[in-house]
Formats: sequence, structure tokens, C-alpha cells
Amino acid sequence: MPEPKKPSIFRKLFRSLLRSPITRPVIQRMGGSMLRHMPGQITCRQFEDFLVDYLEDRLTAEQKKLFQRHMKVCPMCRASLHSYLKVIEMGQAVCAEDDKDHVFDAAPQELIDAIIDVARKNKPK
Amino acid sequence: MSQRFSKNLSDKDGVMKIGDSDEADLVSRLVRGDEDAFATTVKENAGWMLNLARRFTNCDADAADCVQESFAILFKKIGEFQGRSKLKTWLHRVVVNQALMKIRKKTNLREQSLDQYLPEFDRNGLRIGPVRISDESVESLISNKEIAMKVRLAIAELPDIFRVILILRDLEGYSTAETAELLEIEEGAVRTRLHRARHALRKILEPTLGAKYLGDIL
Ligand SMILES: [Zn+2]
Repeated sequence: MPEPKKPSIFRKLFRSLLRSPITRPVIQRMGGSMLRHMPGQITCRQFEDFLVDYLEDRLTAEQKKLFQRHMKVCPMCRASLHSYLKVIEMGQAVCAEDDKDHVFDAAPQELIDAIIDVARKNKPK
Repeated sequence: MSQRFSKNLSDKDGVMKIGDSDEADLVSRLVRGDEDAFATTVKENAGWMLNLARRFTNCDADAADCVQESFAILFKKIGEFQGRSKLKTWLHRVVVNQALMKIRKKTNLREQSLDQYLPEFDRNGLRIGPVRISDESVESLISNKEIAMKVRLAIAELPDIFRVILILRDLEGYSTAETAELLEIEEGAVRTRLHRARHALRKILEPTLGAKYLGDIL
């Protein structure tokens, strides 16, 4: 079932309601119960439950569709996923940097000497 | 996601190719007990091995032990080394195993929780804010030495089981199945903990990302 294109005026209104501290909780609550009761929609909580399996491509076709549909309609989950992935990438980038530059200095000479010493004593006959 | 990091592991079952003749030569010298070959191998590998062990154990002394024990295993088993994998890939596995053994001795890996970092939902299952996003690229964030250090610390501060799983899965490129096997736990447990570890990292690092609240930019 393809997602119907929403008129941008609706989106603008929706965003402004979501932006206001007064209407935001109301919209959220409405949205929440709508999502919970609407067929073909999942809640943010279910979105979270699907997340790891989505990233490992383990969802069924139907679950994947639900997941992607929620991502389309829910800016909070979109933003959350965005920073979730970004932090992983940052960890990877920092580790790659460390392995490349040996930011934490390479093995100290004493350690290298000790290892070579042990090897010399135990070398294959 | 972690393709860059799984690259050096993907050849773990590969057969040696022509280009590896230098390594074949080194290995045969090691088998013969050539002292120069031992010295070369240690000098070329001890640095990254120590880095790797330190990432897992969070402890310089433990990391040094791991490296020492890994080389002891290499020298003892070099006769059995058939060149079915690269020496470096093989050493990588040994270091990881040594580091895991060290951590297991110290902590009970099962009894740790990170629930406080999980996202919160209202009773309708809707996400409760604030959610922050950042437009800055990973490269530009990491080029800031202070942020890079915060990332290292955030990883280091995770409880052992979560740190180990995050390192194996997201940083060292092991699959969920491989991680489960190494840790002798169910794959489902790996996924649950990985998810928590990532969320903890996100919560800890969010304030340093220069991120804006979602509500401010909508
Ligand atoms: Zn959501």
C-alpha cells in the first residue's frame, strides 16, 4: 500500500503544531493513540524493537514496510535513528584513527624485548 | 555500516595468494626458529595488538599480558600454522580471545544493565523527547580532538559486556553470530545488548555533538 502524498500545507500545519510547547503534547498523544490503533502503523516503541533487526536485514517484508512507513511519518524516530547511526560511525572513525596513527603509543620497547626474549627461550627445536 | 572494518576479517578463510609470498617466507622462517623473524613479527604487530587489547580490557597491564600471551601462542603453534589465513587475521583472533578471557576472569558478564540509557515512551508507545540531531559530518566532528577523546571515553566507560559487544560488532566488524560464539551467549542477547550499548553511547555523546533539539529545527 503506497503512502499517499500529503499536501505540504498539512505538513506545515502539523510542524507548527508540533513546534509549539502547548500543542505539542496534545499532538503527540493523539498521534500516539492513532498509531496504536491504526492498522498498518506501528508505534515508536515498536519501531525501536524492530531497529536492530532492520539494520541486520532480518525483518520480514511486512515488518520492513511498517518500519519504513513509521520512519516516514515520525520525525522523532527519524532523528533518533540518525544520531544512533552517527554515534556508531564516530566510534568507528575514532578507532580507525587510533589504529592508523597509534594515538596511544605503539608497544613499549620493554614489552617487545620481553616477548622476543620469551620466544628465544621457547623457539622450536 | 562496518564494512571498512570487516574488510581485514573477510579473508579469514581465504587461501594464501601469490602476493602473500613475503608472508609465506616469514612464516617458514618462524617455523625454523629464526630469531630475526620473531623480532620482526613482534615489532610489526605488537603495536596494533596492544591497541586492540587495550580497547577491550581498558587496562594497560592486562593489555600487555594479552599481547605477550598471544605471541606465546603464536610461537608455540607456528608449526601448525598452515597459511590458511593471514598471520595478522589469525593474531587478531588470538588477541580478542585473550582479552575476553581476561575480562571474564574479572567480571560476571551477565549481571550488568544499561536500562537507564534506553529511549522512553509514553503510554501510547510514542517517543518522549528530547531528541537531538546534528548536521555536522562525522569527519568534522572527529577532527575535533576533544570530541574524539570523548568518544574514546564513552566507549571505555560502558560496562564490560556492553563494551565488548559494541567493539566486536561495530568496531571490529564481527557478525552477530561470530560475536555470540566468542562470548558463548545467544544471538538474541548480543542484539539486545548491542542495542543498549549504542543507545548508551548516543545518550552520553549527544551533548558533545553540537546537536539541536528536534523541536528547534522543525
Ligand atoms: Zn516514532
